Amino acid sequence: MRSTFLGFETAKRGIQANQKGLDITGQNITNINTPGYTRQRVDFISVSGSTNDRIRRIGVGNAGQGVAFSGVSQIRNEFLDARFRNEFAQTGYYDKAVSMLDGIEAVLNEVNTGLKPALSDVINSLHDFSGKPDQITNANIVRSTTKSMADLVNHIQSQLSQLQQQYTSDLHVDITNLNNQLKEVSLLNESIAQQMLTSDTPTDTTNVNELLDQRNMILDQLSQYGNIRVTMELDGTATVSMNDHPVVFGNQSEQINLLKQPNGTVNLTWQTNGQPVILSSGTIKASNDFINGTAGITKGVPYYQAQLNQFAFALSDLMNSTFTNEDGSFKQLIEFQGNTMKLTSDFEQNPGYILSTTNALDNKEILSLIHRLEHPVSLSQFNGTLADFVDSYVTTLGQDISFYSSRYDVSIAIVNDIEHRRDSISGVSLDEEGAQLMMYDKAYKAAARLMTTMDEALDIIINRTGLVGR
Amino acid sequence: MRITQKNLQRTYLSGLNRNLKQLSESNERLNTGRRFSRVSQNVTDAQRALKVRDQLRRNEQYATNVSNIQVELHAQETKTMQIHDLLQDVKELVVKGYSDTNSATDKKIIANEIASIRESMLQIINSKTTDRHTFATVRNESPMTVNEHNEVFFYGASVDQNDTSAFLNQRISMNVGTQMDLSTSALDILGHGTTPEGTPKNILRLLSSIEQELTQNESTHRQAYMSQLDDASNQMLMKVTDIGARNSYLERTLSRLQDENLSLTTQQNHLESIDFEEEVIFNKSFEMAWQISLQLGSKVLPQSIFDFMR
Repeated sequence: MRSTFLGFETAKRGIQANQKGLDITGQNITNINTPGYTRQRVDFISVSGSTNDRIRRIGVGNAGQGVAFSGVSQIRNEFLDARFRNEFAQTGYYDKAVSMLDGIEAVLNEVNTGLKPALSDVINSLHDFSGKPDQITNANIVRSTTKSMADLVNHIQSQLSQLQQQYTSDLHVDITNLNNQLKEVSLLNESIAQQMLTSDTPTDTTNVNELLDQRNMILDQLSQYGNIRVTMELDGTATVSMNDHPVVFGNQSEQINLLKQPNGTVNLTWQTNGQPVILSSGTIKASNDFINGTAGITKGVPYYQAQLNQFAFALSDLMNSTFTNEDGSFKQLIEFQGNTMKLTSDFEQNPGYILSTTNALDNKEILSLIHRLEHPVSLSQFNGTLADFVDSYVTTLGQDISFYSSRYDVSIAIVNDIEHRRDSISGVSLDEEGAQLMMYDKAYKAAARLMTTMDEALDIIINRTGLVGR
Repeated sequence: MRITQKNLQRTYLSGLNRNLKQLSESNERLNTGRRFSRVSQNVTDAQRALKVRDQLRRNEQYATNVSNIQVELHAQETKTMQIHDLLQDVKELVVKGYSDTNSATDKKIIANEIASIRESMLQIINSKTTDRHTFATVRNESPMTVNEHNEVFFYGASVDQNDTSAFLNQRISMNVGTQMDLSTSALDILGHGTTPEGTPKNILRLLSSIEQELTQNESTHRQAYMSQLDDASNQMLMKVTDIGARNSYLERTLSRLQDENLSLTTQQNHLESIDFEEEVIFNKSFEMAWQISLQLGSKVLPQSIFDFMR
């Protein structure tokens, strides 16, 4: 048996449901430019008339009770999220690698200034000296070109060290951000889990949609630092691991510690177990690689410092084994203090130090030095002239940069594509929302009209029935 | 695929950014006139360009060395010819001196004349070109010295010795790609040693011996001395020829270096410099693409259904 006022309830639900529809459409439209916003949808269901009565009912009973909404859900694809984060970590790595190597290239700057012109100056001054080996003027020019060479080597070395320090402080900022974001995710996990307790079903996210958006956005940002994997738990929390090391679980979070070594390199460890942080992509791996990299595919600052040192040592070796004293020992022209290349005080204070005391015009020593400077020498893993040696590491750097930038181009294209797809699913379309707006508006009006119709029907029963013959 | 406003915006912005990047790269090339300013921008060409630069710098230095040697050789040649000319005068005087028609006094006078020419020779052989003794070897000092007994020394070693190793007679060379002799030794010009018969081979020694004979009005060694003079004169001409040969080798080297540098410079231009006409055309088309993208911007967020709702 239908109750008298059943229709009013149906009409009321219809009005409420469509009003909520209008609210959520409004939410979508107003948040069209909110970063990380996922479009929402009201989940309507029609109210079932069935009951659990054991007695058979006659007629249609409670059918026609109208609409109810089960919640407001987000339209989002977790698979695309995972792909995005995976690829974004790659992009992060390549982007960082290119910018760090660019820094090194700017310091070496072999195309515009660089070591080779300085080396040429030394050799050319020796050529001139060989023509007038008894002239102190020419000896002095040799001294000043050698000194410029040493100054340049020291300058590049110190710039590389500065670069390393700058990269380390950049990494420090990245790690602080990462640690904060991990903390934030764990805090959001806690809030979300608490709110979810009040939900009707485990999948009902009505109350936490905005928190989910916030957490997703942080997870997206996190993914640039390293390769993360996100698993959604039933209680609404997200478990995050970086390269299989758990970093967020429930309301707990892990931290990365950065330790600077005396030689300028850095060590990254997990706070909980002190183990080294090993990642397969992301900006933190890039920073770690190129702050510490000495060889292989990650030739970083230390590699170029070592190359420069080899060059400097080879040059000094040649120059220090050229000019002889009367007792046959070699005159030492260059010495190293730490990593600093400088002229010996003998040569520094007296350019005439390299003049021959016996046969002033004898230039054999000078000619042999020129010969050795212009011909192949043997350095570790390298056979060639000193100039070739410079060319070789400068070219290596150029190749690395062009390799990583082309990888970056590919990776960023993929990221853009995934983002495009994500937007295509989760983004707000004004046309759609406009159409929804009209739809809910019309449905709202219709539900209100239903109310009037019900009212009119009752009016007949109450006010006009039983007035026969009046 | 569902297209949202954000999609349109992102595609537009990334396209705009790409166009602007192309334009700015092209601007940089036009500003610098270079195809790349960093090795990473064009690794293969940059690598070759760096090599070409090395070769250019080296060749330029070689060319400078060639010119320096040529200055020295020129001085050496002129002065050797002067000594040779003096030697011709001496030969005439010697013939005259030994002539029996001359009195002892005349012979003395001639001997004095020879002595003064010998003195000139010594001056020439010890003279300097700018700051370098023209005929020096390893020491920048007067190569020949004469003592009061008319004994001649080459850097302190008596020139009467036959043993070449007794002298500081090394050759000084410079590097012009290959080693090239820069020096001509005074010892080689004037000669050293003594013939088995006791005739000095050194011209200064020979002349003083002749002077001595003429002064004493003797002619014992006339024949030997005269033929030694001829030999010395021939030796000297050979030295001049040697200098000339070196000079022409240097000329050839210089012109080879110049040719090489010309082709290296062409290569360098090709590798490092942009083709301005081409780049300007590219630049214009990049600029146009950018402007078109900008104009498109106003249409990126097109009208939506809201513009038609009442």
